[in-house]
Amino acid sequence: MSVTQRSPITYAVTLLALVFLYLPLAMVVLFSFHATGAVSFPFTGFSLRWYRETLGDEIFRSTLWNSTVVAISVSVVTLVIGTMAAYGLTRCAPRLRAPLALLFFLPITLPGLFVGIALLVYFARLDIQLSLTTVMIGHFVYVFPYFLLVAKAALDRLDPALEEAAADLGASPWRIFRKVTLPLIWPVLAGATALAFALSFDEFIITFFIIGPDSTLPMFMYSRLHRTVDPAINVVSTLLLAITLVFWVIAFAFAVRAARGRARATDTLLGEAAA
Amino acid sequence: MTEESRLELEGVTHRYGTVTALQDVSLTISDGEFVTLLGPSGCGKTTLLRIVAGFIRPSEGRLLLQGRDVTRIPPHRRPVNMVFQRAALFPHLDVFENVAFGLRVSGAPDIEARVTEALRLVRLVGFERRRAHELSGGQLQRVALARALVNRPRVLLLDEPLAALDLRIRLEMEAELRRVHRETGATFVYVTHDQGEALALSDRIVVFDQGNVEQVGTPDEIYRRPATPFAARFVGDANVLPVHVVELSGTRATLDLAGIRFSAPSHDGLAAGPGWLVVRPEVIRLGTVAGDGMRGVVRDVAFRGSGFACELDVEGLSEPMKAEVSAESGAPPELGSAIGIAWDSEAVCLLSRKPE
Repeated sequence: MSVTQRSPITYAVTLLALVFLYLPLAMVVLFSFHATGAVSFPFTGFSLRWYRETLGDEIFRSTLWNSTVVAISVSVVTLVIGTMAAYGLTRCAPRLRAPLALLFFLPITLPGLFVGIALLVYFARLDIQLSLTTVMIGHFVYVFPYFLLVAKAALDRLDPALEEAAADLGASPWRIFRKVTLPLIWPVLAGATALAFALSFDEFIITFFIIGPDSTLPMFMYSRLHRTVDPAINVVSTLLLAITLVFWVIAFAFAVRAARGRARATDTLLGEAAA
Repeated sequence: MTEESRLELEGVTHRYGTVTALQDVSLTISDGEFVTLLGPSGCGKTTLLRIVAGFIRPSEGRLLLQGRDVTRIPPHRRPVNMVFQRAALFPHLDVFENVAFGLRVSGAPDIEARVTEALRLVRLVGFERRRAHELSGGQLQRVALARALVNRPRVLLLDEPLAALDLRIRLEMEAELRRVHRETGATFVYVTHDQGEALALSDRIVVFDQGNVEQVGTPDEIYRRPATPFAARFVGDANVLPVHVVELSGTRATLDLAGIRFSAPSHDGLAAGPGWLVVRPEVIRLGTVAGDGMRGVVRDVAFRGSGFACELDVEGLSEPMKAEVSAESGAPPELGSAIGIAWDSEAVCLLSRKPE
């Protein structure tokens, strides 16, 4: 019997794990289309009434708008600062690279709770009013290391001879960045920006501590749960899931595109070595 | 001298931390010369090329281009261009835009005409719209050559451009490089670890070992009159035999090799005492054993097309002696047979050896 052959038990366990993972998701989506106010079985019929109700809700619309504004601002700022940081990090004096990278990436390990409280104390000390701006700052702190991780990896993979060739042909450092570096890594940057959007859009823990009088979509959902439980909450969850998923798919699609470009470039060289 | 010499290195030393990559290298390269920096990997030749390109600032020493000190000029302001080991074509641009890159940067007029001229020089007209991944290795290097030459650099630097190619394409590209050098008249500084390439291409060769210049000379000089045992072994095949110089008289030297007296050409700087005798395999004649001549036992014979490469055990020598017998001279010597060894005393080279 070959070791690669799987027993029926393996299949059963795999199936069970997948059901366990996706069944709750499927239930949320299913009951968002429920005709009645119940969020548990029996399922009595399909209807879009909860979607109509939710989309007509003023508070829902304003929190969706707030979350979108925050996520777009955070991802744009992260794109600019994160790209500069990654560029500096891969091109500074070699002995500075490891310690700087450690400092930049360390926040990934911090619990959201800790970051939230720390920021709250920090804003209070500096007498900064809590608002959507403080939420943006908090989200930036949260998504920045993830963006940097992806962007730095792309710059590390770039053949240094390409930038040297551009310098050798007379291009200034800024021109090299615009004409060679950026065109080669932009798919990765675009993907990392989509990732930053997705991370910010559904962030809850840090937001919980530093949100002012305004509200974001995850905060809105949380407050709704306190009052009544009806399919409207399923509708909001489903929409949140859909929006986040779209941006994860975008991020993934760019990553695949970048990987293809790399494979093609390496093919040329490997093909040569084999020829 | 300075008037026509394009590139001068004065006492260039470079250290990576505590490792010395180049030790006090001084070198003058004339206008239009094809100079090859030759040596094993890690000998400092690539470091020197990157210093000329401007990617590395030397720890000590100066670099002058037409008498102007450019040691501190960044690479994008130097009138030199480089062909990289693995072409390093921009993958997001097609062939035309790769070649046009330097012209667009400098804002040159007639970009289209100059790119076409450069592509004609490397015989790639019609490939303008191809991308790097649609080209063969030889074509990649031709584009890299055109991309550098289109800027009409005073000095063209080539960093092992043929190392990644297979033998047939490499020989083809060697001929292309010689032709392009003739047609452009530019100064070429070429780095390689392949002595065959160096001998075939260069006007002059600079032999490097461990950061030091071992010898500078024409291919012929280095082959016939190597200055050091390293140069003798690295350029071409050689027997480097430990001898004792017994007597010097004018243009001749008498020496003792494994108890047998030989004569060899003498030269300035040669002293009596320990020395090395460099004997190329192809100057050795194998024949019948003569009375008091040198003799050896054949231990290996390999057919090489043009002849037979033989290895002989010689009494009194620690290493086997290499000899080449041309295929026309008939059958190769028999394995295990004793055979007489002789050579033309004008075709060997004697070096001084520091006593150990």
